[in-house]
Amino acid sequence: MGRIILGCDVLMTYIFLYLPMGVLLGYSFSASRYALVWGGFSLEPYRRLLADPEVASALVGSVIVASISTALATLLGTSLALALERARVRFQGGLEALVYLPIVIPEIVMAVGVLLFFAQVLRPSLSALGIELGPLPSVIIGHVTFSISYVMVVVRARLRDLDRSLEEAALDLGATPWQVLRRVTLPLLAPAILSGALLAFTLSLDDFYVTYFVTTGGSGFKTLPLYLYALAGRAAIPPQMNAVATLMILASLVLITLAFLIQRRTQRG
Amino acid sequence: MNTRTRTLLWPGLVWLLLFFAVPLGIILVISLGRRTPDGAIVWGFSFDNYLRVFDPLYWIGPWWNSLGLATLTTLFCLVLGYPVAYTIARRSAAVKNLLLFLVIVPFLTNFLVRIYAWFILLRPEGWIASLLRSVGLELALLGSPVGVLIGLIYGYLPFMIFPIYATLERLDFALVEAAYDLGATRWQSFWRIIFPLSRPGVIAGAVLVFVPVLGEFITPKLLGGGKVPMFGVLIEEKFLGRVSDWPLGAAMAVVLMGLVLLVLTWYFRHLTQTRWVG
Amino acid sequence: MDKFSVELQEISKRFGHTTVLEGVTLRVRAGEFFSLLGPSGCGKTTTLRIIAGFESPDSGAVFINGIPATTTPPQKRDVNLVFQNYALFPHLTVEQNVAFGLEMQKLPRSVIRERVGRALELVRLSGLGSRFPHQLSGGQQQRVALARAIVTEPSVLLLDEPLGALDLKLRQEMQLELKRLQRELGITFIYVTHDQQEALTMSDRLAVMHWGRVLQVGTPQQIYEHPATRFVAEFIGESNFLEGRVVHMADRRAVVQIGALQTDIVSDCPLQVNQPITLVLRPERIQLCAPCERDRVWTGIVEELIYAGSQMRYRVRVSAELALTVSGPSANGITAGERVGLTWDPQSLRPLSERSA
Repeated sequence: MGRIILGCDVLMTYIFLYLPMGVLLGYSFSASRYALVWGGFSLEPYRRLLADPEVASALVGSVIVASISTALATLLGTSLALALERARVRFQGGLEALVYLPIVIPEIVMAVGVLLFFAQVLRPSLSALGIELGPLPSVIIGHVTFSISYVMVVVRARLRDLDRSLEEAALDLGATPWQVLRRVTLPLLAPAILSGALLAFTLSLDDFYVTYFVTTGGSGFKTLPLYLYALAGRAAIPPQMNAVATLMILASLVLITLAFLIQRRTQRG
Repeated sequence: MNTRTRTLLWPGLVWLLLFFAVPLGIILVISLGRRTPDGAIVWGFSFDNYLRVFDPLYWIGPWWNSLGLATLTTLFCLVLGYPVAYTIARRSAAVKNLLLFLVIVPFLTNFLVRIYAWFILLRPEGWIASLLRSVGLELALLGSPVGVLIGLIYGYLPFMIFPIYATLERLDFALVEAAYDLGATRWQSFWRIIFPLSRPGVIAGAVLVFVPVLGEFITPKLLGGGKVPMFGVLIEEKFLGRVSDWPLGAAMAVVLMGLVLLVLTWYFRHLTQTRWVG
Repeated sequence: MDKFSVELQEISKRFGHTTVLEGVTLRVRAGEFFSLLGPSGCGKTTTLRIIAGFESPDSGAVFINGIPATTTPPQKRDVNLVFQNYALFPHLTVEQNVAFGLEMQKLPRSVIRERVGRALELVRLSGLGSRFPHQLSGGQQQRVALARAIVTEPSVLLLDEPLGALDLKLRQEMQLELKRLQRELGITFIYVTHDQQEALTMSDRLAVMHWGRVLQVGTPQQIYEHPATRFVAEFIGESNFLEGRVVHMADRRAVVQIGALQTDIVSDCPLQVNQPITLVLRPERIQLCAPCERDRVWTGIVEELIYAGSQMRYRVRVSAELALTVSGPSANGITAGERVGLTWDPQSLRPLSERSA
């Protein structure tokens, strides 16, 4: 008897989890001029979406930012993981706190910090040198900052599990520490580095807070989340909103299945 | 080998120091300043902003909303999430992975998309409201703490499910069988054995939900319609709203950070004090 | 004088509060098969790692081929280690694993390929070059680890309990293989094991270690015949211990009183009368007879018979305080409960030094 109740309860929770997405999916095929009204089945929202130039530029913006910030964050995060796990540093405790802080800190606090830093320190000092910092570099800097720690965590976990005797064997056979890194450690870390990069990419695509705060002042630069926010803020929400939303869900699904498959293949090999 | 690996430390460290630590420092510094009537910032050293944050007349709404909603979200996530985690942990490996995958998928979609979906669902003309009306309940979901709560629960449920699942998965269910063998009922064996042993996961989940919800901004803003001021919403207003007050906003951010660090310090001290075997 | 391949002088090492090695001094001759024998935790693996360069001693010095090497990093030492868990690179093939050390030396491709081929032949693994470690059996992995370590032609090869994970039959085969390999290559082998049988069969010389100290160094025969301390006598082979007092000493012969009985022993060092002494007597050095042609001084009742294939082990109770273990051929018809006579050659009784364990 108890088991039935448990089962029902869990089922309801799963329904709860999927209800909103189902609704979005359904409404994305609505023929109405307003996103929130059902007007019969139609592909109109998708047509509108394809015709909307803003979506395209927002998508491009998102992808560019995500790609560049992922590359940087992966590099920096991996080197941090290696340094923290292998070297003995004096202020280990403080360093660890600094590196883990971006993960636990409320996103809005980090966003505010980045905003203040750009407004009060970076932009003034750069314009004194005659350099104008556009929105793209600013957003990238912000994204890299919060992604580094996530990459580090993922890589470090795998590094911990790595068999130390493999690195010792390489040294024993005459490899310099640099060669050990290149020929043994990094190849074995590759799956974790890839996971970390995928994580950074997802975080960047998804980010709203930092991007929003950094691009205020109407620079016109948009990523997808910002585009969504702008749409949602309008008095009458246009129907392509639902289409965008549904497509984004599908894209996430694809990315995640991809990551999952990569994980499975590397585990077997 | 040590000095060589130490140089690996510098790139990442410098970046974090420059773009993370320094900004935090700036927040602190600005929070001690003042805003002039025409919007400029006067640097100074005064705790006026902090006094305003703790002034009950002004802020009882935000304090109450933030702490209250964080607590409620955590509780609901626990009540909803624990059964799910338990059910998954008891299944075979293949089913486990599938169920976990199903839990994570909604979570991986962009959260703006998720909130927007709730926006549709919770409208006065939406399904849920209509459903409630049919049983005679006239409940305002959107633009009320209830709507915000629902959106928060939705967003943070996986954060509760995963730690609990991780702990339950490692549990040796032979212990439960031993309890049955000694005459315990299902309920007793749950309360006296399973739940206490899953406590680390429960506490981890609670922290993972409570802390971020404290600083939430998007969910209360979009689903609360301006009527559910939480810390995050107010901070955003003070920085990007029509009437900005950066020093005050900074002070609020510092207070929020303080709350978060308080909870985390408690959590880490708790972790090092309790050592579970098995 | 022989040149020493490896020399350790007064090596001490502490991990936290535990002293792992104390005053370890060893001299390994070039081209010999030298074993470090001892129970788990006696410090033999740590000694090996200090020679390889993965640990540095708190005090003392390491010399490799006469050159001071205490602070030299592992990649610069002419020493290769065969790890206990093989430490094969999982992402490289067998061939790439074996070639690794040669690639670090920046040798040309053709030379590498040739030497790798020869090394694989030497360990009887030709043809498996393109497999990955996880596709090989334990014994095969072990041989890859061996090939990888010898292909760079180091002057010293260190082996850390390499046969531990193999079953008995395979282990015995590999023991012969390793011995043959060492003779063929002429490299110095330093072999760590806790199996005394292994150490006795394979080594030219060995060192017995316990609690971080070297108790005795010598050939297998020296250690077996003349154990220096009670621990060595107990750890290597089986021993009977007879406690007694010296009652008479003349020339090199002495008479020792053990309980109510006496026995003659031979001693190179002079002993004092009334000096307490512990004698070691190996079970296989005792002869049983029933009936005996002459009356024996030492007699006893057979308490127990343990069948061990070609040998039989007897537990003979001589007196209330003393029971001796005797091993002899199984086909002599002696049964439990019989009264038997015991004899031995006085040379078989070895006095232990005062310092025991």
